[in-house]
Amino acid sequence: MGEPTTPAPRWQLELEDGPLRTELGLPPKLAGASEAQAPMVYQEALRFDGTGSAYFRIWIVNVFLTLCTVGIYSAWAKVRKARWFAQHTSLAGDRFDYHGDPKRILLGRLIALGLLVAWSLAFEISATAGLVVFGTFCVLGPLLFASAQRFRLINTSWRGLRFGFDAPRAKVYAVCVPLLVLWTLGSVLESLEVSEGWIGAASLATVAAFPWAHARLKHMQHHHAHFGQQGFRFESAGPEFYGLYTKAIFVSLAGVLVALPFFLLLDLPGRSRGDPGLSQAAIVAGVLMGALGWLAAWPYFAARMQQIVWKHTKLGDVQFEGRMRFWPLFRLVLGQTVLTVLTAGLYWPFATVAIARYRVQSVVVEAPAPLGTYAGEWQTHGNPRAAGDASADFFGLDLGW
Amino acid sequence: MEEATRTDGLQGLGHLFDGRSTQRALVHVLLVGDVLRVSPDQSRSNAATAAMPIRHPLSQLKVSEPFDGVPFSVALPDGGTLWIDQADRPLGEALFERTRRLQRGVKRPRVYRLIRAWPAVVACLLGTLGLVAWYDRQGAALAATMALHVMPHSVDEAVGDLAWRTIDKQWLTKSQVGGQRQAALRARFQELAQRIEPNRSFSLRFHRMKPEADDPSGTVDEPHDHERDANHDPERAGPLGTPGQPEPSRPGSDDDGGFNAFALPNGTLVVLDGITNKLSDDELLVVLGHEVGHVVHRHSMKHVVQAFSLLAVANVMLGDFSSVAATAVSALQTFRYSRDAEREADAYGRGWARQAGLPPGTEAAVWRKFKVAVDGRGADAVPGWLSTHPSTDERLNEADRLERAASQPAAEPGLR
Repeated sequence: MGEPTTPAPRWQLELEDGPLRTELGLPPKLAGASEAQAPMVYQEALRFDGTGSAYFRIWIVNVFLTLCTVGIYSAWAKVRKARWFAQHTSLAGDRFDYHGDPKRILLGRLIALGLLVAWSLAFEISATAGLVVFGTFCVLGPLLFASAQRFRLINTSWRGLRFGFDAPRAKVYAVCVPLLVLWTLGSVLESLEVSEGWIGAASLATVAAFPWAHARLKHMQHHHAHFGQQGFRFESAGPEFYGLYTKAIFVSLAGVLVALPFFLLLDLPGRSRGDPGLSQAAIVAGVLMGALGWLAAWPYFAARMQQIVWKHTKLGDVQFEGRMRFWPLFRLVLGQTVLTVLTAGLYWPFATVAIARYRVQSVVVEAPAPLGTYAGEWQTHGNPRAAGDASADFFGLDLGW
Repeated sequence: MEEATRTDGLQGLGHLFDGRSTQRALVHVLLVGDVLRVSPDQSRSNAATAAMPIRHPLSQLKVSEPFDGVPFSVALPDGGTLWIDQADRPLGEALFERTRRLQRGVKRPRVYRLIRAWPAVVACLLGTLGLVAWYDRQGAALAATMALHVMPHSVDEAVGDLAWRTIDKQWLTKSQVGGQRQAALRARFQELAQRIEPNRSFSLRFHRMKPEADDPSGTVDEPHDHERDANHDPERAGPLGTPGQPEPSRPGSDDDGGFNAFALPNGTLVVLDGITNKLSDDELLVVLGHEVGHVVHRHSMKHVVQAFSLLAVANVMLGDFSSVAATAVSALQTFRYSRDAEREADAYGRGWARQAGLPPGTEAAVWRKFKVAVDGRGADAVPGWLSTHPSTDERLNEADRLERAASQPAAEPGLR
């Protein structure tokens, strides 16, 4: 079985010999005189070895069959894609795997589609219908969200052992309902035609509370996940979420400030002619700058978010580190987007793979002992078949796209 | 290990996980007929492999198609997982194809072969491009028309009623057009509507835009956008109101009440004072014919359905990279559909003008007045592909061309 062929990281070179080498092919760390106080840490980065050309073939066949079947095949397409990405992701030489049942995914998608259509039409028909649908959302939405999370994790495995997700129902509601209310508050109030002061106040409340709600959501997602019988823990990270959101707002404001002079410059000829309207060039430039601003804000947010979330996640005494950085991610996203645009979208699957590789490989697992020694801690005593079957209960549905 | 030497069996190495722990065992795998035999690798027997060899009938295995360059994973009936080394590819492929044949009667797994053969991949690519192009030209409109057959007219009514309440309250105020002219126009319009569309009812309303000071959103330059942002009837902003185009109100002159007309799906037609004052009764009837065309063709509802189905296709194609990009692409396409809808309504309005017996050149006169009203303001500031309406020049040329064609019917007998 192929062990990874990457050049050994520095820590591997430093750790020349020891009794545990047989487990993972990794020697234990020799406590040198200069590092006597430092705790021993075994680091293992996730690896991703999928190629763009392989994914291109999977992508185009998936898209073609999905279009031919008016979307029905999308469930099978999703399973193929998820399996491909999981099997090309490895940790310590062993690959992840994905076991989702396409029929459950199809069912989940039909339900999600029904809810989406109901949501987009309800307020057009009447305020009462809108409120009824909104109520249904609040009751069913959190359960469906938790079920999708559960489906995703229970159908993912590493070294033959499944992940899982078991959040108490009360907790799911306590986390999801505020988020749902915040998310929809503006449009619901607008549909109910309340005064603008209230809508303004509601928008402010949404902005102020959203990082808090997002932090709680991440907490729920990670704190109630498990691998084998070992549960993950997530230390609350509310203040850091607030910091990140604040900085992200400043980053986008900075982007606007940088773009504004160019925008005004382009609009100047029209103004001097007395046209109050915007010139074509200015509008195109405005759209382009908006796109550039988004290209800058998104990598910043994604990179920082990954760092924060993984820093707070633990599996027993195993820790994680997100090493995604803004600048490399920004250059990568920018370059891949340009190539995608230049090829009229055909580069798309290559871009997807390139970005996935960077994101996956920036996650590092840190443990005080080699991962091979954790087999006993993670081991489950239940019937391993039960895990797969449990995903087929009513709420074992996948809703995500 | 005598079986390993048999020539009709395929063999290879694999890693076995029992599904209970992350402990891995190196095993020797042998496929003979419809049975997979898993035995400990001679060199490293341990506790996990004590019970071996185990024979698994292929009918009990769960396999998914193998990917190139990756070990092949097989789900065993006891909950364990077997990863067959990618170096033993022939074993993995034979195992996959034999299991599929046994379980589903599939001779050769087709999708698996499709993905592995570049010519087939290119065929899929061409097929996809063809499908998308067809969907863009005809498919989306076809799907929307079919959906409209299913959707009852009461939905149009409900949507229109709701939109009207919002628009009336937020953007409109009482018209200053004389009651006599209003009554005369209304009578002429209703007589025509009864004759041309006897099965429908329309209500014609005269209003003016609220003064800009009352404008809640504060973007004083573009009052027409507010109808579009009213969230209920964003798509039908009349024949003249290109979104984002400023109001033709000269500095110092009074606000003209809005140079626009629009229709709601429930059959409510609204003409604003600006356009009522600048156009003659005949010209206004052309505009009303255009608006009736929007209602009769159910453009509002069609727009919703088309936008939704476009978003779905864009998300299938591009969703895993960025849903923002997918949304942007489909939004640009909906602008084009909106321009097509305007042309359709223009054509309907022409038929309406003919049946009303309006003098030739009336439609062209409307577009010329529109050009005058808008040209001083930097007309067509919005690039064509970003606009929801065709350019005024295009519409004027089309009206002129059809006028000429109609005046010399003998010249081109084959055209109609």
